[in-house]
Amino acid sequence: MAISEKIYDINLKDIKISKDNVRLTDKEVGIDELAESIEKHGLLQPIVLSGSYGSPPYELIVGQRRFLAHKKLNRNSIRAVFCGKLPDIESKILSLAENMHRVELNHADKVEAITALYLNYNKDDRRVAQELGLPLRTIRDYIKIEEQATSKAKELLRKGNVKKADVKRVIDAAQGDADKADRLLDKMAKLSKYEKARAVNYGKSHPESSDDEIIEEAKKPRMEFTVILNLPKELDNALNKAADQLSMERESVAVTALSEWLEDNGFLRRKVVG
Amino acid sequence: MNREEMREIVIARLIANTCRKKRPNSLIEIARDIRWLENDLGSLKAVSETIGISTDMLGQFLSVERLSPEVQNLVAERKIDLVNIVHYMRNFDSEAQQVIAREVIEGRLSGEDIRALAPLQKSLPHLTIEQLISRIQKSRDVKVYVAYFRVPPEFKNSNELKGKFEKIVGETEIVSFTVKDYVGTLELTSAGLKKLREAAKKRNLSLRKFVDMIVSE
Repeated sequence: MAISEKIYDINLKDIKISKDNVRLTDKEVGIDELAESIEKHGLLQPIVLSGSYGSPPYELIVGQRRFLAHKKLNRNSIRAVFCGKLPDIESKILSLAENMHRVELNHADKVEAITALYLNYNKDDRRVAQELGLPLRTIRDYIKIEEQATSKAKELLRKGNVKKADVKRVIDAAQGDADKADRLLDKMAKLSKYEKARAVNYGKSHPESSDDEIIEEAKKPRMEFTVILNLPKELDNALNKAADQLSMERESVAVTALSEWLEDNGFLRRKVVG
Repeated sequence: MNREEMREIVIARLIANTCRKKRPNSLIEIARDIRWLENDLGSLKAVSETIGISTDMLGQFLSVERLSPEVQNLVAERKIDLVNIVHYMRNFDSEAQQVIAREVIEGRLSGEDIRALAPLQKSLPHLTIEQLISRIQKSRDVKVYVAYFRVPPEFKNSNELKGKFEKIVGETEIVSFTVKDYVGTLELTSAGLKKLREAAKKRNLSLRKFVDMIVSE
């Protein structure tokens, strides 16, 4: 999709918001501040309209909030560029790509737009990530939530009352039990990061456990033992050298070396990978 | 020294301080250099391109500017010297920063712990910073460091030996202490290990030699 370089002054009356604009909620949030900024500094980025100059009305693809801020300022026109006539899905990509890299877009809007792209690309999450220039993990997180979170969790996310990370955690901990997931979500926010990690681990390894049991287990710290080994100087130096060259922690190098030797000599059972 | 010479020195100093594990300067001095170069080159982006680290990372170094003067002094003295710790501390109020700083210096709070504090404070706003820190400390997995050492055959009093270690690391940092069949086992918290290492370093001894010295004294 090619966006024209030429910038036009377009009458606000000739612009209508495209159905493909991904921002469906929170449109008015921060509009006063944006209007103030535009008044002070002018419009830094022109908005993007579909079609070409000379045949109004124009569909607004990117820059809905800037458009609303201009209306608020009682301006007659706004600076705009044209991106030509786009298929619906490309309009959505353009609008989403613009908005995903900023923080303000509501979670529900992102999910809806990403899911639309995901379905359009036959559930090819890599393609969605590629098109939007976002990490695959981010795309998978959104899709996982859309496909597996309960309606209560989605509603709380929409209102900004829970974090995406906590919703992902309860999906993992509840192992497909929707009621348990909802009950866990209420309790998850009050746990520390370490307790949350234990809740997920325990829930995954004990799918039959209740939400209360998961929370109770999560609150019990685990003991992690590290044995301090006394090394001769030359071995210590070699360990430092290996850690530097391999970009690994000294401890990880030592554990790898020790476990390999113990496995090779039959003192430790070799781990089966795969 | 003219501006060009000064620029070269600042760039060299920043590269030495941001691209190596061992930094010659404190985070306060690094932030000052970043600001000088930003002023000289016109933007943080230009600084980032010149010294080869991201603007995000530069932002982390500049977090030190958002610390209270008292905590900045501790950073200047290099009692707090890790960039992630400073970065996670920046959003707390001045009083909370000082409480957190004390815990960091004592080795009782890590960067990850401080990172975990902010969301917990949001979920439990009625708790004081001390109560939140305590929640974090009690909730994390307990890391225990185990040191084995030989004890001489004539050795009789294990309580006396335990007392010697307690004097160095503090009673609360010893998880357990046993002597059996001429082998001693000392289990320490991470803060305890840090204190033992520092004491060994002060005497210019390796950890092993230091432990042997305590046992044979």
